[in-house]
Amino acid sequence: MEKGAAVDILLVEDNPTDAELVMRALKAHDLTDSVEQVKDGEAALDFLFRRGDYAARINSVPRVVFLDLRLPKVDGLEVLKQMRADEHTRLIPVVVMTSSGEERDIVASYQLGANSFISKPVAFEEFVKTVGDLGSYWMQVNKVASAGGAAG
Amino acid sequence: MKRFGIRRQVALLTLIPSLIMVVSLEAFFLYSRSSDLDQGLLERGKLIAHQLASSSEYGVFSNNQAFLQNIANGVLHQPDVRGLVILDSASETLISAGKFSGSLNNMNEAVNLPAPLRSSAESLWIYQPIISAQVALDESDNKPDIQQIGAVIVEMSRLRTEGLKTRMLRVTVIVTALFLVFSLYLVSFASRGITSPIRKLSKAMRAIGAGNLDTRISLQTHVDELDTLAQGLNKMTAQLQHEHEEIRTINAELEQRVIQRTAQLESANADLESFSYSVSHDLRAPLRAIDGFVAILREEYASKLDEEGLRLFNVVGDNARKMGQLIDDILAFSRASRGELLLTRIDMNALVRQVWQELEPQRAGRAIEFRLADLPAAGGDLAAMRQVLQNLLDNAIKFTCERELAVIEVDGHTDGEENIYSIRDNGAGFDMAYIDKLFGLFLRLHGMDEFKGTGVGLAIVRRFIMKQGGRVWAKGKPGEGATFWFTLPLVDAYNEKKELENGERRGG
Repeated sequence: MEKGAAVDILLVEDNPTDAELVMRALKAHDLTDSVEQVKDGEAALDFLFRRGDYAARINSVPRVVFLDLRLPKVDGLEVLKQMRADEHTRLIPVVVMTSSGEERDIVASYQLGANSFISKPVAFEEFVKTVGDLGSYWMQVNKVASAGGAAG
Repeated sequence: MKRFGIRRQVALLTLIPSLIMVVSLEAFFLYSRSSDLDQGLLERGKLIAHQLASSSEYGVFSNNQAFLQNIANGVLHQPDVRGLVILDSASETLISAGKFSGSLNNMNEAVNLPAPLRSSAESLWIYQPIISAQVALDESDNKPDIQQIGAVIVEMSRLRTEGLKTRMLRVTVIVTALFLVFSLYLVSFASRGITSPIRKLSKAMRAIGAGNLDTRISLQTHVDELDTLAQGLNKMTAQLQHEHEEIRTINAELEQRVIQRTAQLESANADLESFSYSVSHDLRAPLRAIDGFVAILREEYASKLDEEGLRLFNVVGDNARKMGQLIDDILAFSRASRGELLLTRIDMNALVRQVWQELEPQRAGRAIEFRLADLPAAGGDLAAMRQVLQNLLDNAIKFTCERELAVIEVDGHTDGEENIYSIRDNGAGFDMAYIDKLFGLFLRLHGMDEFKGTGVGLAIVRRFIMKQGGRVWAKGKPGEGATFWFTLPLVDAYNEKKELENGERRGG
């Protein structure tokens, strides 16, 4: 039995305050309707591959994944790697959102097939603008290949 | 010129003089011995002829041929007498005995001929006149009336003496040959005693030269000097080996130490890296939360706050952002220290222009006169130099913000050994008393409310310039501006270094 509604944005973020700030930023742009937040890499993979707690989830993939890199259990780069290895999730746009701007993180993310890399600004004003722009771009401007639909 | 081995040289030098001596001695011996033989033959011939002449006087006088024949036959028994003739006063042959050969001319020779009548390779003819006894009696007379009544000619055969000579020559040649062989053997034996140790020495030297320090020489020789030489060489080689071992041990220790230190450094570096990674990651999240929630508070609870309350929240937000900047700067400095540089040729004119362009946001609304001289190209790391110029020009822009017309000059020249660049501004300047704090990390010469900044920019400049082999210094005066100089290697020097490194790599 499938349950729940289709999700547009999957937010993978272990820091509750960061998550709250992201939600607020999205809310300011009216983008919070179908956002799912998970708190670690394992939960993100469970959600995407409908396993564990999400085994009964409706068979649909999010339109974009906002992925932190430093995550408990399975880290962000591993999540990205597994997503790109599976044909159901291979084409989902992934935006890496992390606190660091370390060159090696940027390189590793793009090498594993990230679509975008964002260093979260400290200043809230900038942060709201960045997250809002991201949401608008991926939800309203960008066209996504219907890989999920084909798979489902 | 052909080079002979020591052995051949010794042999030649020893043999040639003794050979010359032996051969000349033998030649002299042979000569005198054969003269003696010839002389002896002649003397005997003369004696025989003389005796024959005396004893045949009566026979010739009386023309008693049977008597003469008897005497002649007796003479023929004497050794070496080949034949003889007895002539009368008319040179007619009275008696001929043996195998006399040769003609009978010239009978009227002087008496007592010292030399033989004639001589050939096989025979010697001796002529002896026969003189009458009456004449012999008249010895006291000053001018005796010599009356020759005949002559004898004795032919002496050279056969025996020549045979003796041939035998002598043969023996001499054999003795010489034996001498030569024996001396050759002796010389080679003796020279082996000298040359073979020397050859051993030279072989050992070659082996030692090739790096085989285990080589030792043992000479079985009776030559003291060579023994001393071999001992000295052995001692030197042992010493060399000992020192070589020592150096190897020290090298191994050093290498071990380098490996240890490198491992320590690597682990420290890894720690540092994970530390800075943590800093960049984990320290910023709380700051973002502070600034974010303060902002939310200010927005959503503005109605419940008075002016002072709003101001205080502003202060909190400002400081959170400042701390964020500080973290960014620390990380930039840490990257400047850790990163490896890639040296290339840098077009400094283009780079300065580009950086100046990128600083446009900082220059917004400002009146700045920018003077850029023609700068020499330098050898350096492009990313590092971009950061250096960014920091210096940003400083120049920042510290001239109170000037109505800011003047920023970039100049550069080469002194043949390095390039010297300068950035001059007419800004706030600084007091030279605090020059030692200028390039220090987190050290600022101005108050936070005067000029923004964390005090990392110049520390990064110094770190990058030093890593590229340059120097950096500054001069300033409060209220009049500041000048910063830095040096970079010449492009040529950079090329040379690169070639050297390539050569080393090829060589290694």
